[in-house]
Amino acid sequence: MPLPLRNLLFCLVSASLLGGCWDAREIEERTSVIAIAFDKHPEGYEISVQVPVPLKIVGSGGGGGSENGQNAVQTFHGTGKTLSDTMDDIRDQTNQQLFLGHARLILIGEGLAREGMGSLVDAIRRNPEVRRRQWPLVVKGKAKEALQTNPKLEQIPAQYIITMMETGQRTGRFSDEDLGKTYINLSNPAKNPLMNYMEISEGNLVWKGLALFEKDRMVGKLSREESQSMLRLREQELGETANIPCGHKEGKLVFRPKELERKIQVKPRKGALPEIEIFVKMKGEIIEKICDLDLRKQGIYEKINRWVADRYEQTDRKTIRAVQKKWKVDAFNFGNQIRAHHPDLWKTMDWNREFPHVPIRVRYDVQVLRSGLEAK
Amino acid sequence: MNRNQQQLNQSISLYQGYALVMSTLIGVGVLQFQRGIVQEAGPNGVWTILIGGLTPLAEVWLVTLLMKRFPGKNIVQLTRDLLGTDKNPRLGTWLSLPFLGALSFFWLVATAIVARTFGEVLIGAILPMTPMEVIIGTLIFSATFVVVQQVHIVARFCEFLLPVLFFPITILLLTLVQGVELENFLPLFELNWKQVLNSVLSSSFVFAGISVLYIFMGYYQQPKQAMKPHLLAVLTVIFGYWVTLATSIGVFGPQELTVMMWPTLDLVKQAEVPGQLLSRLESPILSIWVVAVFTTLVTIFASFVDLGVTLFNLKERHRKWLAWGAAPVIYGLAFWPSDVEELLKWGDRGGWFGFVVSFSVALILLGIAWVRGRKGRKSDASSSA
Amino acid sequence: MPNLDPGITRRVFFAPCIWVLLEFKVCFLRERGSLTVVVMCMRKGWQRRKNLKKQQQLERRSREKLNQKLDEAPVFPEVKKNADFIVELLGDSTDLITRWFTIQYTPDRRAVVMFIDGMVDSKTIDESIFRPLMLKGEEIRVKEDLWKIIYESLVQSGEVKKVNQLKEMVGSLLSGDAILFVDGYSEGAVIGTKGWPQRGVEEPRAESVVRGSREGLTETLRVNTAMIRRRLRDPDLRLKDYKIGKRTQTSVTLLYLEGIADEAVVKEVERRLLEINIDSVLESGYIEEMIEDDTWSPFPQIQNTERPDSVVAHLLEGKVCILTDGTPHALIAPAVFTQFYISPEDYFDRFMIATFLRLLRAAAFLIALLLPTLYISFVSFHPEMIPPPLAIALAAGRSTVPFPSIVEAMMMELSVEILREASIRLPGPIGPTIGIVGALVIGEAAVTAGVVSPLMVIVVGLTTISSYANPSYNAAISLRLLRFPLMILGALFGLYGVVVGLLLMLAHLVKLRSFGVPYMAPFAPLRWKDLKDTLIRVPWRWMDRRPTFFRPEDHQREEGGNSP
Repeated sequence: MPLPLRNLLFCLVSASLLGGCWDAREIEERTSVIAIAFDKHPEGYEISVQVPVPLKIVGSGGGGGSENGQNAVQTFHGTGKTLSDTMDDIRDQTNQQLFLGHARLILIGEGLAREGMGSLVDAIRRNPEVRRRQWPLVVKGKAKEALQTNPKLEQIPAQYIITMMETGQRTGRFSDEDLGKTYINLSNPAKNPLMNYMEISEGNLVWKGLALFEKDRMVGKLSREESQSMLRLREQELGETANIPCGHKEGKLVFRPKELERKIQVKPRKGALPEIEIFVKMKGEIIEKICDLDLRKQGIYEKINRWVADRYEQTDRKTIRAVQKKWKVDAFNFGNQIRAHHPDLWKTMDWNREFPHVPIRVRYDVQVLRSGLEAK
Repeated sequence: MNRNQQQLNQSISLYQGYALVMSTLIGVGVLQFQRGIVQEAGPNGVWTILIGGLTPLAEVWLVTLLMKRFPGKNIVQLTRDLLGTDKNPRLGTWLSLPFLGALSFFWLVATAIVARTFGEVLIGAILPMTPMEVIIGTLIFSATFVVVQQVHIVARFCEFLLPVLFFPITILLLTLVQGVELENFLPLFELNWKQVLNSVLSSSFVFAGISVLYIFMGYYQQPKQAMKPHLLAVLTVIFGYWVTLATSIGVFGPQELTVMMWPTLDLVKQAEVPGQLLSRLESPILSIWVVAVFTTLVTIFASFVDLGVTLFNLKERHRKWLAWGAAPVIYGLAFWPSDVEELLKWGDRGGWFGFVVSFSVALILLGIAWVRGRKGRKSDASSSA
Repeated sequence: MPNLDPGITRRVFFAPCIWVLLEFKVCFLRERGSLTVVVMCMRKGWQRRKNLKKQQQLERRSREKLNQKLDEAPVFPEVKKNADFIVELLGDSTDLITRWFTIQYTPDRRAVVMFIDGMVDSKTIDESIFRPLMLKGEEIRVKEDLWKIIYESLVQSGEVKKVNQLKEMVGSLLSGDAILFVDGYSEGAVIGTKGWPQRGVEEPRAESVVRGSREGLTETLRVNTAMIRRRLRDPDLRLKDYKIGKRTQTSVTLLYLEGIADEAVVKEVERRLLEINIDSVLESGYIEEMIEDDTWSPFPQIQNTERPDSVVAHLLEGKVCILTDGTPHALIAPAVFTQFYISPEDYFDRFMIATFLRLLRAAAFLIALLLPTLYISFVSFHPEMIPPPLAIALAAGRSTVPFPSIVEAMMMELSVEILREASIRLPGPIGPTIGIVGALVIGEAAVTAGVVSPLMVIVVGLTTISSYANPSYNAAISLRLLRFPLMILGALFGLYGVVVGLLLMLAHLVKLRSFGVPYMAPFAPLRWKDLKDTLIRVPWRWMDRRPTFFRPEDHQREEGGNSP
């Protein structure tokens, strides 16, 4: 008769005597990184990590006044030839081991992004600690400077950026591409990554548009307006509000999109490049009017519908043309539609080379639902 | 009537049979089966896995057919009866040795491979510094602890843990909600026959382990009715694997899937828990997976031990000696493959071997039974205890 | 050759060897050297031992003789001889009262009444024995047989029995009856005069309910059986009495419902009861430990309860109940895992409330078992699972703590256990005070001093409260016990260790049986129909069958067709 309890106890005691707990590292014994910034460096890479100092953060007990901003965090910098090399450089400066499990922000300097971030992705993919759900951002200039911003609203500067990204993504103004999606876009031959592009202005990080990538290399940047059409066409996001001309009158109307549905159709043509047709159905409301248009008039909504659609079609066309001609990279991921729905076509053509020449048409169907609390 | 009840408690019910098949089939494979299939078939894995599922269905059908012909007998007693003549029952034992040898060899190796793969995942994902020896040691130790019990207790163990295996479906649903791209499933049917065949084969190895029924079915209460629960169990498992595969393809796309070491784990990584209760789900999902692996390990190991016990006519109290004796052997075998690549190769070959063995054993014995016209006598339950 | 008791073999062969060694050592130390002296000394020791043994043997023999005598001795016709025998047997105990008297109008016949002071109701003795025997002797003038008259008309007590064996007389005397001998008759009478101070029927302490009977079992066996009988007026209710405990001779009653309880279980319980070979039974716990299936299990395999209504409910499910004299705790067997987490109140409240409470208790069960170990494994192995803001707070709280989380948790859990133990042992009004002082003051001070982190205090508090939510005290203790190995496993391997620990626990649980009933029933082996009364409780109308895993002989609980 085996005696379960005794056996178990015996096993436990012997195991603990043998000096177990190989992986036990207490939470306070880990240098818990919250944001990582990658930059180009003459030596190879420069990496900066932001580590919150738990004791200086409010609500943690432990006595002492709480601090915020840069006082609540410590930033480490390291340089090296490979990513792991650079991390080792940082480890040489910290008293505890680096822990990347809580990192939720990856900042990439524009210089590095333009050079290509292939090796960087490889290293972070292999590490089981790194999350897939975190925000990769391209920062104009040095990414490490973004870690030195000092927002007042959150205690941890990086947390401020994270919250900002989350809000922007939820309201459909920023791209919601997280690291996991970037991985997927990198491995899918018919897709390209897209990242939010940030700029530091007056000590604050500001969203300035989207960074276009050709695989792992950044090729260009979309302006704020262009970014809106990119978000609509690529990710079915709502984007920001749009200023609409008041017909032929002076002044503006402001339209806020509330629902959006996008359909992409690829029309193969014999002997010529296929044609891509995008149809967007939108619903929204008027939130501002600075012209003497009377919204109580019969049939005025239909007219506004047309104006809004015209306006959107115009911007989108402009964006598509810019992407096709200037950067020549399929940031819209139209290629994926062809790969999926027309595999024969996909096999025969070199999409990346021919994308700039493909005719793309956009059509909007807009419906204004209401106009706020003012009837007039 | 109460005497009967007492005996019912000592044997395996139909639901327990269902649980046994399910928990044996769901094991280490869940974490990495997608890669093999998708590498061969791309998005078509969505349907080739269903074709691949036909082989385990056929296998379970054959095995059940054979075993229910001889109710109350496990493979050892069955072959003794079937191959031996009435005058010379020893002959049966001798003739059955090749079959039993192949089966027990497979079970032994499979236990070792499962344990090693388990250790590999654990070290890779959550316990990077813990020595492999300790992880495999604790796993085999705990498994042996269960295996020293009688077979029906092992069945009861699996039965209790069965609901746990259904938990991960909620997490799959979470990821599903968070974005499946239809385009990832396309293009379909852009395959040549060789690719289809390869991926079907690759998916059928996922389902190795049905051979444990050779032992467990000898202890069933109602072996005659076992066909339905068995087929149902295999279908459930196929469905489970299919859902997992479909979700992973939908979320990641075939290209991304082929570069992942443990795709299911990445799938979990991609999920976000509503309410922010837990920030990441890998560790909990791995804990559930520990349960899945553990049940697989236990059933296969228990089959091995029980085969030994019946073959050598050991007393019930000697079962634990056999189990504790086999444990170090498995431990040693688990360290045989030198690296991950070799381990995966072993896993593939092991799956092959197990599949071929269990399939052919069932076929040959069924053939012999049919030719000799033998059927199991209604055995008194005491002989099978 | 008679079967040799292994104990005897050990005594015969090993004890002398050990003794020789010990003696040698003692002598060697005392005499410091000289071998001859040592040998002499040893011989002296040997002699001493021999004498001692002889004496013991003599004593044993005399005791056996007495027992033998008592076993066979009939009641003597001479009163004096009887009385002297009993007085000698009881060693002239001071509480034995021997009252000599003469029955009226028969001065030649001496009679004696003997009883134990304090165990009898002296009023009854006065009124129904002495008064009629001493005053109403006129009836004897009928000149019939004196003994018959005494038995049939003089002794005015409901419970009178003629006995002709002295042993039985002594047994009755010791259990509180008065015994009467009359000169010239080789028979005595046992007169039921039991009446000792008792505790009244009070509300059970451990199993209090909001709704339901306030009656609890008491220390007196008869009162208990009466309380049960009152609730269960079923002619099928069977009571069987046993005397267990060689010296205490404790009365034990086995209760079951014939036709509902499984015969095999009843027989098994009876067999195990009869096999008990123990000196004393002071509480039902002695019996529980002697008859349970697996003494090495941390889980209780027999339930105990103080509530008569809950005893009846269990009897109706086909279980048996063992009542022990001198303790208010009745034993219920067989028992399964789930029934320890069920409060009697679950059946009195409406089914939705009961179900909610049961789910709540299941959650409390998990918290009580797992929360500390989860805390340890999250904090030291998987911090990535904790949401980042909480993780920072945790790290801050822990940064002043000098110990690893396992030590921290062990320390806190142990101190809470001590606190709990202390507040139970303390006299009534002080207990809660100590609890508050301990929990609030020490906890707060420990946090301020930076010995433990604030979250740990929350964890420990939650764990303790959760384990109080468990309706059955002995099951709660097993959880408290198991928490510690799980904590160690969690500290060794993180979640993997926890899962392995749980799997081992489960392996033990599915193997466990209680009188042939699988402990994890109805989950493993699964019986869908019996799940009605486990994690949930369905309305009574749907529980028309008794749980099958207790193998009741009569399955039907209610006749069909009582739907509204």
